[in-house]
Amino acid sequence: MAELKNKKPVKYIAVLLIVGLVFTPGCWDRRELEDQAFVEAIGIDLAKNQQFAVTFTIAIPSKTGLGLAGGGGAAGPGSAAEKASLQTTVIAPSVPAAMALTSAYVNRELNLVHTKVFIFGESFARKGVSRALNFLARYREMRRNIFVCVAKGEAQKLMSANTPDLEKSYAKYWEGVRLLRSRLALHPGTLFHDFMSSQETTYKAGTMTYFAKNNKSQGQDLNKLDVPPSFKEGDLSIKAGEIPRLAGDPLEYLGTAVFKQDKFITTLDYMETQAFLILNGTYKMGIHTIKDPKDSKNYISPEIKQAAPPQIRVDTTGDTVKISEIVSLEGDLASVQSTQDYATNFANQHLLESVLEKHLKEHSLKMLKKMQKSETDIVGFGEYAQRGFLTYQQWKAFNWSKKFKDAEFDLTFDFKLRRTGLQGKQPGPI
Amino acid sequence: MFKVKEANIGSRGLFIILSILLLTKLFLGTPRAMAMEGNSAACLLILAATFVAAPGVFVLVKLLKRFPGQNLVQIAEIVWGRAGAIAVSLLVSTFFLLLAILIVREFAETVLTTVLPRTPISVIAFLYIVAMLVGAYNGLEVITRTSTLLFPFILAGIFSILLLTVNFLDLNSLFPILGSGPKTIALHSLGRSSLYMELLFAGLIASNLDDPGKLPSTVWKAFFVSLIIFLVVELFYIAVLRIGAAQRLYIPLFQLARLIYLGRFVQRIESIYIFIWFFIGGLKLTLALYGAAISLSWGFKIPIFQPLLFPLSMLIFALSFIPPSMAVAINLDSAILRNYGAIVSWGLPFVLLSTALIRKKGGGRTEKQKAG
Repeated sequence: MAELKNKKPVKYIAVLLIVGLVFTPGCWDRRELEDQAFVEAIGIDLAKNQQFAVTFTIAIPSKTGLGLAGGGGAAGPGSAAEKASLQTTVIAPSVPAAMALTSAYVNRELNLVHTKVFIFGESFARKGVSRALNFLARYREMRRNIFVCVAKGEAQKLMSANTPDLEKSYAKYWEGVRLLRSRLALHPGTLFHDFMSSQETTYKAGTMTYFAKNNKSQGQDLNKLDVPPSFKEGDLSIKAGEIPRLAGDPLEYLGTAVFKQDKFITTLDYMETQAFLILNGTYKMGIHTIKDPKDSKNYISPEIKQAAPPQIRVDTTGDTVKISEIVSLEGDLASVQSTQDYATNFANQHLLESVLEKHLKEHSLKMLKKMQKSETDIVGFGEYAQRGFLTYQQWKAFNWSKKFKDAEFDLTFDFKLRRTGLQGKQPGPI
Repeated sequence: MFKVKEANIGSRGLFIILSILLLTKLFLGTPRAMAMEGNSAACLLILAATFVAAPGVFVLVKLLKRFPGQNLVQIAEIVWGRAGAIAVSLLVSTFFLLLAILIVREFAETVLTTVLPRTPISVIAFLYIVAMLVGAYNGLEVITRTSTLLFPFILAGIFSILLLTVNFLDLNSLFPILGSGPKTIALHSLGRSSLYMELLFAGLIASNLDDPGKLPSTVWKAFFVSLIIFLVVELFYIAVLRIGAAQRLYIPLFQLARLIYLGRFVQRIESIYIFIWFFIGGLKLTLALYGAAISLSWGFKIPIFQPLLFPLSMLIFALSFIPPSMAVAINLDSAILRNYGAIVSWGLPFVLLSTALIRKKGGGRTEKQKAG
């Protein structure tokens, strides 16, 4: 009897395992890796008759060389990522419809679980992106942490011009691009989640990373390159597509695309983007260049970091909204071209700090005035303004975007030069 | 004296099964419903609903204290006689049956929407039915042991989701502080007191406790621990997803899990949470089926409840397909069960206690106390 009792659990486990085996293949939802086409990037443009022109960059894993000894991809000219992917554009009334039509000629079902980026063509974005956003929010394979950008011109043209030199896959390329937001503050690096948050609230306008093709980047003659006028003052007030350079991937990501509700209305250049990121507290680190205050023929490039989160106060009690913000930054000298001593001469250090504070404040105010004109609070001062209201109804009736237009700003920049690089005084004869 | 053949459980086991019954709703539509009704003040709505529910829990505990070691059906028999006991057993059984029907459908729909879109819904629902049938068949002790084993994983799952999405946290989303307004919050708090309606289960198994004296403190413990978890999850849900998305997303904790991105190597880990999601869903369904069966057993004096499980499961399976769509199922749960469930949970103990007080019934000691 005892023996029989002992055998019971074994019997149960055996039955459980046999029944379990039936379910292990996954039945209806079984999808083999080699039956799927993994999309790395999606571009959307406006086609005729309000149709979507959807561009898919589809990975060809067998050509990436990933996991192979030596890591070599397919041979021949062109970037490794370019060779390891298929790019195709299809016109359809919606993104799912475009996916279905694409599967009709790539012999695999499109899978979006590994999609890294959604790129909106300029004309599509200017008409409003909400028609496509709905798909991003609703479709089970999409995630809210997908990277979203706006392309100058057509997304399809930009995507086909994209030839990353350093990456074996576009997925890795887009991850790297997004990472530069926190490393160098080149662009806002907006995720779909951030953008949707701005779309679903009444206190913040949306932004996306701005992309463009640099048509002059493939030239050969250095002397034919135009120098942007702002460079003379040390200002990098340029945006994607305008970097004076030779060779490299023609695609550039620099600056911010600003949205009013779901419509793309204007762009911010690199300096304005840095000011925007500093003011909204998402700035981590970046390079600024100014004229040397003691020697105007030379430039100083400090590496600037956020020292503390910005302190924002919004006073909504008066007729005019008063916004005050204290920004704490610190920095390290990356380059001093002149022979001036900014390492051991404290008077020079204080002078440099005050000049930088003034420089940052001017750029920030310029950016804010531009945003006020278009009634778009991209920084999100409204988030702080709504704290002064008890109920959502009161806040909605306040009409923030109209009030933001006439708001007064009181910006205080506190910059401290903490370090001076690896050396003290300037190099030269002792 | 009639007794259903069933093992007893301890106060720790009772706390865990009550917590599981309460916390499962965090995986379904409750956080979204709170955000819709309370707006940025969804946490305030939870607090208000707790204040409304607290007297209900007090009455339930008072009733069970007055009749130590007796469950709701037994109490009804003492207070109202046989007919009353049958009526209460049918009411409580229907309550848990409805709960099971809607949860099977909602869990099956969410599995289909997120991970298994091509699998027929009947297959998913059938698997849930099998799981709950096996669980309930083995009785209260096995359910409690399984719950005790899985509870730490469930808690770890909930809190790790919150912790790993902390980089998206924006506390400004919790303003304006009064959200949809005090009037709206007060109005919705009445219906939303059903957040705690599953505590009625404690009344159903009050006769199967090792130490009935600890029942009141265990019920209150489950009530307060769940309140804290409800508040923390709702706060993160709104502060991470922002109020707009919080009002629209169907599967709250799963959506939070999908947001997790801590660098290139810690991302797309929601699959881990699907197991937790299955565990808690399966356990709640098992408890609901058990509740429906044991209530009928006590009411109709059937000494073993197991024969009731199969027909009840089939009923749950069949009726779970009556709502024509996911939206209708969620609406039925949110608008009907979650708004009016409180009437059964708080109303039944109130009426029983009032009658007992008027008729001067109860107030005795347990058999154990008597023996001591």
